[in-house]
Amino acid sequence: MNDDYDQASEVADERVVHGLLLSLAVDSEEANNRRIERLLLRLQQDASRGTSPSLPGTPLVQGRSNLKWLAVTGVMAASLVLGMSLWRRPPAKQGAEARLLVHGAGVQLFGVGGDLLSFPIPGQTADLISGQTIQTPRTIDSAEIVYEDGTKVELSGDTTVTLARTKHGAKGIYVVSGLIQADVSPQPPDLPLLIRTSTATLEVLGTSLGVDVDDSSTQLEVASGLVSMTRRSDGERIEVAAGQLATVTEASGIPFNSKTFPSLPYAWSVDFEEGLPSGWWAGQRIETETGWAVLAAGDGHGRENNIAVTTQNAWREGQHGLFNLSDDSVLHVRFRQQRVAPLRLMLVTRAYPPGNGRRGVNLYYEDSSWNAHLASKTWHTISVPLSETSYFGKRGNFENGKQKLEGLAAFTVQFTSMNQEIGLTVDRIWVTR
Amino acid sequence: MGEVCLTRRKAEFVFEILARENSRMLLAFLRTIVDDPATIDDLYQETMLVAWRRLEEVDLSKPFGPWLRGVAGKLVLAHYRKQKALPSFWSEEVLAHIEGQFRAISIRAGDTWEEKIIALHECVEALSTAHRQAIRGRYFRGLSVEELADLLETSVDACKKRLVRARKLLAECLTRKKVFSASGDFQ
Repeated sequence: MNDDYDQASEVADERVVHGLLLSLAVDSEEANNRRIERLLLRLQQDASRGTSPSLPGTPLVQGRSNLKWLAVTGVMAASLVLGMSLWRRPPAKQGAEARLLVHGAGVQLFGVGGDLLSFPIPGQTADLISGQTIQTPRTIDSAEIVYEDGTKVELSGDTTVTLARTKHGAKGIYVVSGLIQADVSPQPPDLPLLIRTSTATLEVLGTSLGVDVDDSSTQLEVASGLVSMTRRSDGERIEVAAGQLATVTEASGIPFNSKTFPSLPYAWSVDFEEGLPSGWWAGQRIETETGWAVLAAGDGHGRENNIAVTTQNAWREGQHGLFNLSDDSVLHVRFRQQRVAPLRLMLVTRAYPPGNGRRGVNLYYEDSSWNAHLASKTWHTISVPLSETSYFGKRGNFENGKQKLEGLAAFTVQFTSMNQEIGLTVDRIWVTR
Repeated sequence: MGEVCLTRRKAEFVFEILARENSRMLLAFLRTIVDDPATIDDLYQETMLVAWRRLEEVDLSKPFGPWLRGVAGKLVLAHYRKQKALPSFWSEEVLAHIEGQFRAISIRAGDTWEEKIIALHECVEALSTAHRQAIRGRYFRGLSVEELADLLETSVDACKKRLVRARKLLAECLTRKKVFSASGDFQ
């Protein structure tokens, strides 16, 4: 009897080890998330076909598509569940943990129970508590989380984060996807701010850093201070110092190290002949009598300045930036238009390499003479010395005058006819010195 | 217009949380008792669908994992019966032990499934080189037993035996680390 019992337990244990090994090797957290999304989609499809009577077949909020609801709920719930499982539930006392400052239209704030709490407009603020999820739209300026101790976390467009608090009381942020930049005030030595993603855990005691998260990787850029980065797949841990970056993927067992930032070129060009670069933000590629160009279009998200040709966000695309800026940089745009409209050129910049003492700004250029050569079928080239800024700044805090450009890199360029549909078509954009 | 069905919403939200919390455990459980990856995918979906349809029967004050494994176990048995072929390891005793080990793992410290079984990495590292190579090749590089035998320059039979031995050593290691319950704990 005992022999049979021992044999059964031996067989069982071996089978369980087999299952666990496969679980570690095959079922990554990200693959699991995708599996869940497929399951939820199937549930919804079954419901809409009436094959799952107990499952509701209509979206929870009328007027929103099932798919959109699923996507939003999926992301929100993913972040919420992961956030809740990684950190303890918020403390009983539900005081505000931080403030949300909304800089762009369309930021969404979800409550702990998954309900859409608000749809803030630019300029609004809201109290935040642990467990809430913030989702920013795909626009250039989005939102900022400000803690009482002065710690600031900027959320770029298309970013989803969940606020958390560890069981020991440390600040926590779960980044589901997107790009955040954090200026972290000094934290108690035993309570570092924890930034978690599906692939990495970052412990921050006080520093400036950027974190870019996608489905399968986390890229950390440290501007000042020191950040501990742990690969979640195998617990491998490194320290990333100021001026260095490191990338973690789902893979385990492969050494990962910090490294210095790669240099960016000072010259740059895009002419659309080979297609649109990956992640191109706004504009429709069209064929013209002289080759390929991009017709300005809305990005479907922003409420202002939304008819534009906007490059990819190179930072989000893992390229750090499009090009370095210098005081003698000149940006050229070859374009044409069918009607007169205010035209504006904007460069979104960042300090590069990080930790050089600069802060990124948005550089704006406007010149009414750009409309002077209106001829719908004739290409016209403008050349803008980038030191001749019309104004610069971020989030409504604009200043006039020259902006020193050394130490900055542009990661997005936008040429816009504001809200007006004028057939603005761009044939080429390039930068020289 | 625009009204929200709160009860339905709550049910869906609760289910999604439970599904996400238990998804990797369920997969590991299915991988323990089923070998064919396509069948595992099907049974995973089917288990979750049944769980959704029977959510009202679940006592949410108790752990969801054992109930979910119970559903999965019945579906797996139905699958094998349909195939008219039970696997050689299949017996009430073995299944009871497997369930016991999953219960032991579920009460381990750790917020995620990965964290609960993180000790397995340490156990793999602690294996002898020959056993570690076998485990890494078979599971983490996805080699077939034949490919692994080639790589290890051994026969297929010897390779299979080495894998069995390595898994047993890993089970012993997990027991020492209290991830697994000792077999007597289930009596």
